[in-house]
Amino acid sequence: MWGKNSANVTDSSAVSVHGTNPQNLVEKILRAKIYNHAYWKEHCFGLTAESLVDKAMEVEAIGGTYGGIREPTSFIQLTLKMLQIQPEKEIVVEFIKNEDYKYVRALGAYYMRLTGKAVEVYQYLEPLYNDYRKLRRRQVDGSYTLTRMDEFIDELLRADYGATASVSVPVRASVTKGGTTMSEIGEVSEIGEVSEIGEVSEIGEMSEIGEMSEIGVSR
Amino acid sequence: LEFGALPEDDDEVNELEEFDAWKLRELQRVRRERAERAAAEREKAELDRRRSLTDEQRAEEDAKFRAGKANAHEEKAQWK
Repeated sequence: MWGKNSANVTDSSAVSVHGTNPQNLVEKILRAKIYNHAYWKEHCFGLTAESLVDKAMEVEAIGGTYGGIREPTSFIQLTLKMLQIQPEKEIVVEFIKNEDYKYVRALGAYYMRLTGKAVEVYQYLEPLYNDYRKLRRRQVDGSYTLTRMDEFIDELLRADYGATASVSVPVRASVTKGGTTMSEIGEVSEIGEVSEIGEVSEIGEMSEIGEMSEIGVSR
Repeated sequence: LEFGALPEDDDEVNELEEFDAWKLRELQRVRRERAERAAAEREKAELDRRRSLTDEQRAEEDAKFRAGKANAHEEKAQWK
């Protein structure tokens, strides 16, 4: 299962992430569960960055593990696959920019959160605060709840242990020295009705991630 | 083991309510952001003020602070 000739070995051209083998970003017990899981063996074997997209399009829910035996979701399994094959950054960015398949975007965002440098994480994930599409989340007990993309992104950027991502990201202020998290405030203020909360629009200078805002959302 | 059906995640339904809910969340995040910034500024101002004091003033302030605390004059209980 862990041997150097197994199907689970990290791509030989992969570079270490956060000072370690990228697959180590998924904790060992979960990793072992994934390696033993039927979905991993049947659907994730030999995936490349291109064929992984097709699998990502079929994802039905985000989440980590579920059920009595804490079975890994396909979402977390594909995350591990990405860590294993380490697709180029452009491909990950294309995942995030994808407008049509929200679970592909969620997967790309999660992968970026796990592996990216702090500045990149904020640069690519903050524009997704604009995306309020529904996402199914698989709960630990196996049931589903609905969440929204912006809530998921908020969790990734703010929570200590967001969606089982145990890699911490520095708070934004320490990354950019000022500026604001809210790239989308300009958009809110032109929709109007925010004036009673007052002077929101003055916050909206977001020059440092300006060119990212066209990712936006399809609404 | 049955986990129940997948909930609907179609984004075409209730678009207006969804948008309003997003707007509310967004404003809450803005507010959170501003509160955090204000707190950081307050802390920095306090730090600067404290650093600008002379040693005597600082000692005086410390004494005042300690006197204001409850149980200031009691010995700490010995831990066994």
